[in-house]
Amino acid sequence: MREKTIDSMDQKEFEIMMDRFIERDFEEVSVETFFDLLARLDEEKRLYPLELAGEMIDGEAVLALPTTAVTGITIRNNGIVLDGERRIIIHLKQTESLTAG
Amino acid sequence: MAIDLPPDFTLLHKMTVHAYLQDYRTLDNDGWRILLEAFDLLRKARLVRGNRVWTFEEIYRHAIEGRYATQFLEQLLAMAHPLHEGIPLKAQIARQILTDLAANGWYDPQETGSKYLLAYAYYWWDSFAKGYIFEVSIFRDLDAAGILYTAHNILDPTERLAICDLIIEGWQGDIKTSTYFLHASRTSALPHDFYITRLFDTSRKAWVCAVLMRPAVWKDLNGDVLVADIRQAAQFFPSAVQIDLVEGRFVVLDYKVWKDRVRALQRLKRE
Repeated sequence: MREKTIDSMDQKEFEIMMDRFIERDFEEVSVETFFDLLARLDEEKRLYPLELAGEMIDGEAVLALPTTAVTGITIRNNGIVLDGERRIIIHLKQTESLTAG
Repeated sequence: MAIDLPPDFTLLHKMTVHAYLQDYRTLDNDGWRILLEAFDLLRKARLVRGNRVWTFEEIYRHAIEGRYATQFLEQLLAMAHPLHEGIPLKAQIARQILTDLAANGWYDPQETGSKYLLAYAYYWWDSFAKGYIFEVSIFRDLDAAGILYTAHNILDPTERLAICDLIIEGWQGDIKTSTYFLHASRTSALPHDFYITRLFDTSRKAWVCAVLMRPAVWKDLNGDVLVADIRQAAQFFPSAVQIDLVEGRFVVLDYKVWKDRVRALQRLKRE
């Protein structure tokens, strides 16, 4: 099967196609496609790393999620709770810096 | 002039863009996924002329949205039936795009990449225009239903980029066409309390508006839900169905049911 792209289209043919395109009415996806795409995008997002921002307050790390609500992860100060069960607590050691004196 | 398409813009993206421009009904679910990816990838395509470089996104923002958005929206707001009258206006303005691109030296029929610039410009203009046609039609519908809300001023370019499109009962909401919602969903988080979108119901062969909202909003509206995996949710919609996304939990249901509940809540509060 020939792989049809706009690269291979004759200029006139391309401009006629584009002229038809700009007249098109709403072309929303179907209910089924919408939920299927939402599921696919969600799966892709779950593969991305989740970046936590944090700062040191009174010698402890205080973490925050990038958005207010992320399923399965809860942040409490220096603690990360995964799926309501597994807890990860972060304690950072203060290293004394050596200064030349 | 030269146009560099992103290296990750593959033959499959090109074929899908072509198929979509010819007839969007030929796209299957995988085709839609690739299409959304394709038009997001093209944002970073580059047009190089002499020592100047523009991304497709910069050209679109400057030469198209920056130039035509406000006049389009002014006329849209003056329309009695924006959902119907807005489409011809969208097309009328789009016809200027090719002329403008050529006048700026950004469109050269001899350069194959120019076709992608025009496709990109038309796609995002179409998306912008339909997004606001839908948004204005929802505002009109909420007005007709007597629902109290605060909306951003779409004629103000700064307010167009406001954090949300409208606020009802303290809930921040956005109004997006389904494809625009999916674009937003793939490239950013879903920070709002609710989203109003528009889908095609194949069984009833009719357009249907849907609301995706945080469970707290639905709880305020005293609603019940069915819990489902996202992939099964279409079976239950338009009944209220609760799904889990990486951004959190959402309840999805028919817009009319949601609107009736909001109206009832507001009446109750006024009594």
